[in-house]
Amino acid sequence: MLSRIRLIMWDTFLDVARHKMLMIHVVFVCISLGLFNLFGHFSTTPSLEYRMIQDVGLSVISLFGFLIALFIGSTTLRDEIQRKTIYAIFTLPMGRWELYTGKFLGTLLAAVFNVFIMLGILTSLLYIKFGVVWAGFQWVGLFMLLEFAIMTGMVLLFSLSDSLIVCFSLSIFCILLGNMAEHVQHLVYEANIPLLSYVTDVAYWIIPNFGYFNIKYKILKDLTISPSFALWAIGYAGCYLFFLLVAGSWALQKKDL
Amino acid sequence: MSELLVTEEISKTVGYLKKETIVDRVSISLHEGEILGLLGPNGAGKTTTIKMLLGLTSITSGSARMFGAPVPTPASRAGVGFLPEAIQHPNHLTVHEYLHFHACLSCVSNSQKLIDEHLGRVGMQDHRDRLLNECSKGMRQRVDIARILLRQARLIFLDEPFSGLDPCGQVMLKELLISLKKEKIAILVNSHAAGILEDVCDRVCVMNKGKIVLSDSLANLLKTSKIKVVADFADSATASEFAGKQAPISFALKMPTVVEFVLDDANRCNELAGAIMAAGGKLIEVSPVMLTLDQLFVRVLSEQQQAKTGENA
Repeated sequence: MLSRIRLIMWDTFLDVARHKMLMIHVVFVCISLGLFNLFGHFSTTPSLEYRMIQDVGLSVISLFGFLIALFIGSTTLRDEIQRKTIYAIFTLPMGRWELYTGKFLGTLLAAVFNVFIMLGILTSLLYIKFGVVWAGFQWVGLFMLLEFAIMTGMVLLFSLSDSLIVCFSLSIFCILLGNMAEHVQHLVYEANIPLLSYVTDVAYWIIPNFGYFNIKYKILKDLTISPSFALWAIGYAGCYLFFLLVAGSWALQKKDL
Repeated sequence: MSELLVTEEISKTVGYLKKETIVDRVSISLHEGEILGLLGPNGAGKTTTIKMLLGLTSITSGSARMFGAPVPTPASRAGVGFLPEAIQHPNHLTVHEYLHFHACLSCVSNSQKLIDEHLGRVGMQDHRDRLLNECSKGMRQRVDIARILLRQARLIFLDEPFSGLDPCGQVMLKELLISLKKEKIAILVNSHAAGILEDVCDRVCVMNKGKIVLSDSLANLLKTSKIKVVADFADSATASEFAGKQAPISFALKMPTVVEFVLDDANRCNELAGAIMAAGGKLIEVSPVMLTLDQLFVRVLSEQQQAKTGENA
């Protein structure tokens, strides 16, 4: 059972890595290099230039990470169903949950690997240009990996819907709402509409709160990240990923192919 | 022969507000070493029936068992192989990598030796390191058959296996099916290629609008009450004169001296044979007239259509 999951995970990772991610890396590297040259002309001091590149670089990684999550999550399983390659696997004496778990882990691995590569490129370029090792790299990496793992898992779950439009709409809605969860809840409380407050409370608990993983402002202001906060974020992400895995396995089990 | 597959009135209904039955109380059975053909027009429910048996889609009502285990439990798929119609293979893998991946998933031991053995069997041993996207459709079809054989499947489902294959590929596949049958492997083939099914199947089920409308052994389905008598005469004039005198028996001149008669009444066979010999002719062949599967299929469908038109009227 575990060997099958591992095999599917590795095959999924290779499938994604060989075909879809390379181009995204190249685009990211090109954009990063362009930014370095551009900000070199506008900034007055090296420290300001460093901050600007960090800020814009992280924003670009966030944007690309989101696009990668959307792209990989929505195509991995869906393509296999449309190409009917999944039929050959489903007719083996194995549970569908094994396939979903393998695909889930493979897709997560691919998304995480991609973000890691992009962060690596940004950090390396910062080091080459300024000769300084980015101190908060490991924290940014950890929190971004958690954020994009949840995003990818969520898109993978929604990709089991019959329509790609439904998949994209649900994914974008949940990701946007997840990024603004606390603001939306605050606004609704201010409006003081009981029914809306109830709905918002339910949504707040169902939709992942991506605010927990947004530590960019802390990094840019050189604030420290406490280990307890990191542990809380890891625990939250772990629970949410487990929930997504169970929900996806159940949905795939019930799906008529 | 042990029964590998048995279904009891399985049905499939789709739709929430407007229910539509796409497979309606289908009962089939399949024994080891038997080839069963599923024949029917597009939308007859053939593929859905196969999907239900493989657990790819749920069974709305009825029950099915494979290898004694209820469908869709994983145990029911323990010795099953499936070749879907128009499968698109992972392009990033070579033939060998693809087979190795499936061998590992199926926990096949000694997979390297078996891969080479089965690639040889389907005539693909020289292409083991070729990328799947560089293979023709026929080659990919062969690779998939190797995939099924690799699992040592005892029950094989083939969904339109002949579509898109060139004549050589069709002959190869046909011969392979016959050789698998000799190895006591049961095969369920869903195909429009009635001519090929006729050559390989032991039994045929004709489906239309989700129902099995005809099911029997091929010999029983294709035989008719008519008898064909072929005779050779000394010269063409004798042949034509003799044939003309036998009205209302229908006949056709196959060669100048050879006449083929078709008798509606088998009891007249001896009488005709006597007359041929009395006229100095030689009997070449006396055999029952058999339908082709294509003819049977068209006849069954037109009868169904007529019955429906009658009901509506």
